[in-house]
Amino acid sequence: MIVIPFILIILLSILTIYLTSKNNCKRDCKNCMGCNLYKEDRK
Amino acid sequence: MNLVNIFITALLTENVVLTKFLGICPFIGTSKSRKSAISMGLSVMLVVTLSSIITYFLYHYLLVPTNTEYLKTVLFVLVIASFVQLLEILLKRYFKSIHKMLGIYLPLITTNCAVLGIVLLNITNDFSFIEMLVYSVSSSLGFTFVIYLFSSMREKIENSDVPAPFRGYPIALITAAIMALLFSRYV
Repeated sequence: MIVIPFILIILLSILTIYLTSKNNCKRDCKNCMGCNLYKEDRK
Repeated sequence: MNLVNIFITALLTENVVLTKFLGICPFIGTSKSRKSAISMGLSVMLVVTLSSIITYFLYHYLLVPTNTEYLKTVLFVLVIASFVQLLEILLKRYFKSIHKMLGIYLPLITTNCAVLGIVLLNITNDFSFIEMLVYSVSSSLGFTFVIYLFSSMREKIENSDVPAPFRGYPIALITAAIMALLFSRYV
């Protein structure tokens, strides 16, 4: 039971790092979804 | 404690910015125009209310039963950080102008002490769920109210004849000090 908060902390850290990396994309696509890809790459 | 009492206290007499001195960075940074102040206030309100609900349940149903209350600060910071990043994605997608206007101050909500302060005060004050909700909403409303008031004053001061040594930040800080005196009931 005691490990659950620690696992949650690790998962939340990974989620935060993932979302932050998405937000740091410098490409200014129209309707940006924060995908870190060029519009052409998405097709 | 009475809900109305909590609401009025958190909004005015125990205002998070002017009596607890939390969230000073966005208070000074985003109060140059009323529009940026109100959008900052609304973003903080959204983050505070949602993260308060999540952290309340995490604390009472996960940390307390496992005797790991000492992890609350780490866990709460991470919940707030992920919320802010989600908010940034949404603003970037649907409200581009607000996203551009808030600029660096939007990701800085993560390190806004007012947000973490309110979330931790909910726990230390031992509020019930409804009390916690009222306290979170009214505290963040107090933040929005004060930042809007301050930005209106700064816009007026900008157009008035201020002596050269006081122009810019000095007069803004003096104004903030007088506001803090009023809110702390010293005047």
